[in-house]
Amino acid sequence: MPQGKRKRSGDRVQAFFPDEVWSGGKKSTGGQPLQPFSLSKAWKRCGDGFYSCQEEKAAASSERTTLLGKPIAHTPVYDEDCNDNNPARIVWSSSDSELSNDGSKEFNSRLGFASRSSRNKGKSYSMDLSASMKQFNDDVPEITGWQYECDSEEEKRTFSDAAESAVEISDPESLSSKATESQLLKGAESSKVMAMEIAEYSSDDEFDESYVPILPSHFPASNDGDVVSPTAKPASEWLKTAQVLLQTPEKKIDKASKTPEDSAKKRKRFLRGGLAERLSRLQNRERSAISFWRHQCESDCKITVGAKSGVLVLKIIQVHEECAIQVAHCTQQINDNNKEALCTNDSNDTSHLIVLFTCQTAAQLQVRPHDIIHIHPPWQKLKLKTEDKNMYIILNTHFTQKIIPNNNSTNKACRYEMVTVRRKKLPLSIMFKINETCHEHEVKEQVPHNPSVPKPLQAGSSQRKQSTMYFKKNDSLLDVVESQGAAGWKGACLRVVVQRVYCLPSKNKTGLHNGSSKNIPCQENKLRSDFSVCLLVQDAYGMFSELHLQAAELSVDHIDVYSKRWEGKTCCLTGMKILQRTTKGRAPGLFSLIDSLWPPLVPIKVHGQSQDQQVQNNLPVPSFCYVLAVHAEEIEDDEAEETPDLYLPPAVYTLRDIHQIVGPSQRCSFCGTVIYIRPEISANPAPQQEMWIFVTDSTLQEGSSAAPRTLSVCISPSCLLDNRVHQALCNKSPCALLFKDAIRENGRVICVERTVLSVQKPLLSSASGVKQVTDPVQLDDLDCAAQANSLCAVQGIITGVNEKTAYSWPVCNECGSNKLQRSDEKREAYLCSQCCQYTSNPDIRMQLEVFLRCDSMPGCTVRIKLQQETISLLLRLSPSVDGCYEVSNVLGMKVGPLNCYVQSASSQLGRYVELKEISLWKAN
Amino acid sequence: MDAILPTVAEELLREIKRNYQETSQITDELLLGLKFIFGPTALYALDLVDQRSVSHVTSPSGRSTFQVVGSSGKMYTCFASCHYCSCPAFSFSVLRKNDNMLCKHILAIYLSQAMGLCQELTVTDKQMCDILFPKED
Repeated sequence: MPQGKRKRSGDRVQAFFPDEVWSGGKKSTGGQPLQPFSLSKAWKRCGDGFYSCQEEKAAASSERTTLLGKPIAHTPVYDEDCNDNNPARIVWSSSDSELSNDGSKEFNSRLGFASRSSRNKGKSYSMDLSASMKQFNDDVPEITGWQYECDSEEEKRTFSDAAESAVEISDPESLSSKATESQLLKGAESSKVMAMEIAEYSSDDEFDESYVPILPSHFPASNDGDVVSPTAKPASEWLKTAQVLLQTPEKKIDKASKTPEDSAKKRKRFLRGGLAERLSRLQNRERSAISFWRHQCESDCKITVGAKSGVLVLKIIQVHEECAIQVAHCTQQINDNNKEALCTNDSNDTSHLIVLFTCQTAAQLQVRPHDIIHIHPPWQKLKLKTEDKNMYIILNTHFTQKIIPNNNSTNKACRYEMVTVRRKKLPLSIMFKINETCHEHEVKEQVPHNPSVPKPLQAGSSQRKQSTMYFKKNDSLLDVVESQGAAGWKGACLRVVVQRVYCLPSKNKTGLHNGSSKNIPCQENKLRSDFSVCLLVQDAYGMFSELHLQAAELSVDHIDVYSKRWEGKTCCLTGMKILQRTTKGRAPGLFSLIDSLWPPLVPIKVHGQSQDQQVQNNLPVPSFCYVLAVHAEEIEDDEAEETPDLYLPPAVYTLRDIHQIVGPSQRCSFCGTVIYIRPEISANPAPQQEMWIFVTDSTLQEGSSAAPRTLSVCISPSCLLDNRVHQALCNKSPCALLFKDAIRENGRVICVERTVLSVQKPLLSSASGVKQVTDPVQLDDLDCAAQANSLCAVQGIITGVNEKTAYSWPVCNECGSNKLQRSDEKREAYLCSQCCQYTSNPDIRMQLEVFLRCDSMPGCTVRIKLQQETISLLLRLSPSVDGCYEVSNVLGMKVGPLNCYVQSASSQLGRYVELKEISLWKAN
Repeated sequence: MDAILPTVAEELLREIKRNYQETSQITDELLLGLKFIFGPTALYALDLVDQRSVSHVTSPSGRSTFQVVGSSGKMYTCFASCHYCSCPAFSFSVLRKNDNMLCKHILAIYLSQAMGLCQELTVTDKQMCDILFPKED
């Protein structure tokens, strides 16, 4: 169908596309039909077409005015009526009928193509083209009226004038005018797009439709495809720019005019969805907006800004530089048009402003006192409150123009004059006080929203409910209990400090757990669902209470979130139920934790005494404690009043201090690198059993003191491990754990209920001044003090072999499985039932226990179960007969030092130690 | 006349904090403002915040300091009471060339504080001492 069209157009092509124009000045395409391909290509560069055909226009310009009234327009006709406030007129040729068919619809469909990348642009042009080709088939174009909005009434008028006068349509003309039109539409559209984008970070509300259009100075082809899009503005403006270009074709390439972030070219991968990624995207967008704006600025230095809203017109009073940012004190040049730009809410003293320029902008502007500058939106305003007045700071001044009253030539001269700016050094001694903001904004620390944790349980979800305002605040737990009765109360408001947050396994939710570390048999499912999240709180009188939290979706795995939410915070309890009153005898575990928080660091109130009386020392530890059930919603943040900070954070000890300072049965916190665990745990959730974790840190490894080099930590099943800790322990590589409120007992440490384990970032444990433990980890030599469930290194001479337990078995050399069967078919071959392969050379695994004589333990029997490698080493020189070795071959051999786990040790006469050789965890 | 930039930076950070507390977000406008004031440092500081690299270390004596795990994994110590960071960018860009107010680590500290993303860490006084006066390796 486009065929006929093209034929007709053949002899009268008058649009000049860059390729053609350059080939022969006024090229006449003769009878040569335009190929769709070359057309679309030409369309892509139609901007150049106009750029270059301006030369022609110069010649034709004298005819322009006469053309204006003619019924048939050949090309867009420029009205050079130089009325300053009257933008150039455009006369549209009849080909606009394409639009007129269903103008609004097509118009809309083009919006989708309004793209800022030149490649997409090409696409959209060719789309337009095909659309117009289709249009050409209509023999009688109908004009149905103009349904889209023109940028100005004036243009609208011109449009319709042209349309009415279109009597006959000649195809080539329609083509060329279509070029103009689609260009213009596109331009207008993309200006909208850009305006919208910019508006996203525009600071002022006055940013509106009348935003100063951005005038293109170069079209893509003249700009080697740089991403600057020909965008923006009313057609009239656009044409005007084109004319300006025509007259001043010189192109200036100013290095300094590069956009600010050229240095930030390094591509870096940021966290997906993170703030950095977002900023980097914004930055790119801003960068192209800036470079585009600068291009247009260079081409048209005299944008009249007076009437454009959002443009700040400022006079510079003084400039200095602070850290690569130029600080300009300015006064606002008030005139009726831009008055509202700043003085929206403050009518006074807004005339004095401080404007900041980045060094790039500053280098371009070369501002000096008395200069007049225009700052185009989007700029950003920041209000500073100083003691006497409000001060406005203008940021994001990327779209700034210096206005030079003289003509262009002097302009250039001033521009490159050097401007010296005084630099100011900034003090390093002043920290920014970002926390001392107005109180109503003061909210406690926040953690990012964790979707799996209910909102009220998350940090930062301060629920300032009416209750805390209306109810009288009470800071005595006992008072509240007395006055409200034990059955449960509502409507009171008890203020407490949350000392600790932990999880308790609970067979019966109300039950208490004593401090024994006996095995509590519990099923995994039960364990994960049957627990309480507890808060140990303290009131102003020092009274403790354990709150069992009741909320819909609690999870052991989020204990760190709960901890962050509440620990150390002052909260108001607005309702609760008393579950139990307990005493030290009944709940030793609870009280061992309470003891560790006693005495308080700050004076507490004493019942029956006036409040300002200082408390005497030696206050007895509370002898009883209430256990309360509280709904999560009944705990509200209390930020109102100054309260003495009763919170006693866990003091983190080094492991050497744990050995040397911490007394028996004391609660203590420490950080250690796990080097071995026994028994091994699997990644699959399994009932938590008692296990031993062996930790060390640099204070133990490097110290030459008497302290053992490792610390054995027993994890009782009552100490709930969250998933992260569990996974870390499964990995079998050294990991740093923080143990909070574990109990020291007989040279080792026990983690029971109310002990919280958490994974530390490896680097953070070195942050605590304890360096990361480096391989190889040293163990203590076996000596008389060795206890069961500890680690040691042993060396000695083999004095005997436990023949009863020595045996060997084959395993598959492929998969390591020991499920091998003698093959029926092949002699001497095995069939692995796991990997179903035949193997004739299975690996041989051996178990061997030997007795050692150790110099460090004279007269002591040491039995050690060796690992495969050590056995192989021992037997490598011994002759083997059918897999059997002579005992005598290994007797007298020296082994060690071997890392061992002490399985049992008797301290009676005829001391006997049973060891198992182990491999310590090594960093991968 | 006093330097204005620190005051501006301070106010901007407060603004970010307010904004974050109210909406758990930071507006594009503030992000661009941050970049305007701090230049490329802002981008890398935000990345550190995204990575949760900042920890606030306190000890019973009341001393506190910040530690930031840099993008290379190296740990930098920043003081809590004045602008100081042990990173090379600080000594070059902030101290020597004086073209930056802060290094990315200090900015990351401010941002983490504003957003409540500091990891809190309690250490003993002795450990704090080791942090503040590290022994030469």
